[in-house]
Amino acid sequence: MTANDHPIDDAVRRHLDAEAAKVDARAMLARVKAASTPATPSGLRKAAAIWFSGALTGGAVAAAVLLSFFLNAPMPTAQVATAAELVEQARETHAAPTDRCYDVVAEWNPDPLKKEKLEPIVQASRLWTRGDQFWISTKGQFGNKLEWGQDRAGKLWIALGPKRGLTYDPSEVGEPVQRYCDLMSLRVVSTLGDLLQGYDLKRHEGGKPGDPIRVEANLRPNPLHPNPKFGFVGLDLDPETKVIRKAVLKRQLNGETVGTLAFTLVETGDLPDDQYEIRGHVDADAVVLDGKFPPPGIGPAPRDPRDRDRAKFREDFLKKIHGGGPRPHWDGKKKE
Amino acid sequence: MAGGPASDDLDAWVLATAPRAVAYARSLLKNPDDADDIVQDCYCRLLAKAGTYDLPRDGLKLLLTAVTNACINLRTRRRPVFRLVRTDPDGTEQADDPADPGAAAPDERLAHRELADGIAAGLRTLPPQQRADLELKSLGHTQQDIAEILSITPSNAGVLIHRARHALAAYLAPLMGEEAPQ
Repeated sequence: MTANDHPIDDAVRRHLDAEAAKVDARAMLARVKAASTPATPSGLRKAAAIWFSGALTGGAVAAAVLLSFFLNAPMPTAQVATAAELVEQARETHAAPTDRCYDVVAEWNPDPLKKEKLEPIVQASRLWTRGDQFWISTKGQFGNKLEWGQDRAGKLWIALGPKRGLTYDPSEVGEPVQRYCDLMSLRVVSTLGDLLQGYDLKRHEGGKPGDPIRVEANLRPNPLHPNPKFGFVGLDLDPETKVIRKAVLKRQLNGETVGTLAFTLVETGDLPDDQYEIRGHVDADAVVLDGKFPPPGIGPAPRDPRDRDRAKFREDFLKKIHGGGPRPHWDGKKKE
Repeated sequence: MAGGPASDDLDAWVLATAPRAVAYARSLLKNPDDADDIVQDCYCRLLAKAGTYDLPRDGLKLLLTAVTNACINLRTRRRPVFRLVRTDPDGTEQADDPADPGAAAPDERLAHRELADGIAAGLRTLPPQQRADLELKSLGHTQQDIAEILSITPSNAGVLIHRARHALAAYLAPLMGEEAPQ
C-alpha cells in the first residue's frame, strides 16, 4: 500500500470511504454464515468446521445438533461443471466485447502443407481478439511488421505498412491470402461453439486452488463434416472467469495436421474499435484495394489497373509472411 | 483448531473487510443486490479455504481479486443483451460503448450539486476495468498488486489509471469550476 498523492485518487478514496461507512458489516457476516452452512462440500468440511464450530460456541443445543447433522451426514457433493458447461461458459465470456491479447507460437508441418500448395509461414505473432473479431501483428522473415485481421462483417484486411492495404470479402474464399490468414487465426467464439458440437470434451482438474481448469477436445469423426479445422484443442481456463489463458490447437487441412498453434494470454486491454478494422492500421491517405471491380460490360472487359496492383500487394504480403527463420523479437507495443 | 485460524479471527476479518469489499463491488455493478450477493459468495469460497490461506494476513487481496473477477464476469455475461439494441437503423451493428450505459448523460451533470455525487456518477462513466483500477489505486494498492488483482500487466494497469484519472478529472471539471484537462 502506498500513500495517495493525486487529487483524483484522494477524491475517489473519500468517496469509497463514505460508501464503505454505509455498509452493515455484521449483516454481511450473518449472510455469509447462513449461506455457507448447507453448501459446504465434503472435502472442505474441516476448514469450514473450524469456523462454524467457533461461530456456534455458546449456542443452543439444537444448533449444535444441526451442525453435527451437517458435518456427519452424507454431504451433497458440490456441483462441478462438466467440460461442456465450462466450454459454454468460456464461450459466453469471450462473446463479450473485451479485448484480449495472446502470444501465438506456431509449429508447422511442411509436408502436409506442401500437399495443399502452401508453405510454412511465420512462427510467432500476437493476436488481439474481441468476440469473433481479431487482428494479428506479426513480423516477417526480414523483420518487417505486418498487421492483418478480420472485422465484424467477416472481411479480411491486411495492412502492408501505413500506406498500403488489402481487403478480402468473405466470398473470396479461394484466395491463398485467405487460406494463410485462416491458418493462424483464432475466431474464439465460433471455435468454442464448434467444440461443443463436434468434439469429445474432457475436463482435467488443476493441482491447486486457483490453477487453471484444463479442458481437452478430441475431434469426433463425422462424415458430414470431413474437413474440420482442428483435430485437437486443449484449453486452460481461468477457474473464476473461464477466460482462455492458454490454448493449443492442432490445425488440420483435408484431414491432415499441418501445424500446432499455441496461444498464451498476455494482456487484457481496452482497444479502440478501429483496431479491428484496417483504418486503425493505415494512414488516412493509404491505398487500400478491395475486390470490388467495375461490373463487366459486353465483351472482354479491360483489365482494371487495381487488379494488377492488388496482385502485387498480395505477392508482397505472401513473400513477407513466409519463412521459418528465427523468431522475431517483440517490443510488446501496440498501436494506440 | 490447529491448522487454521480461529473462528473469532475469521469473524473479525469479515467484519473488517466487508465494508471495503461491498463498497467496491457496488461501485463496479449498478445493482447493489448483485454486488452484495457476489461479495457473500466470494467470502463463502474463501472461508471454505481458510485452512489453506492466511486470510487475516492475505485475505483482502484475494477477496478483491475474486470480487473483481466475479463482477466483471457478471457484467460481461449480461453485455450481449445491451448489444441487441445497439443496431443502427441501416442494420449495421455498432461497437459497444465501453462506458456504463447507466451513467448520467452530460446534461445531467449539472444536477449533481454535491461533488460527492459527481464522483459517484463520474466513476460510473468509466469502463469497469478503468474504474476498478482507479479505485484500487485510490485505496493504496501498488501497481503490481492492481495488475495481479485485475490479471493485467503492471504497465497496462498504469495506462488504465492514467486514462481513468484523466476521464474523471474531465467529468468533474465543471463541478469544480475548472477547465477540463486536455
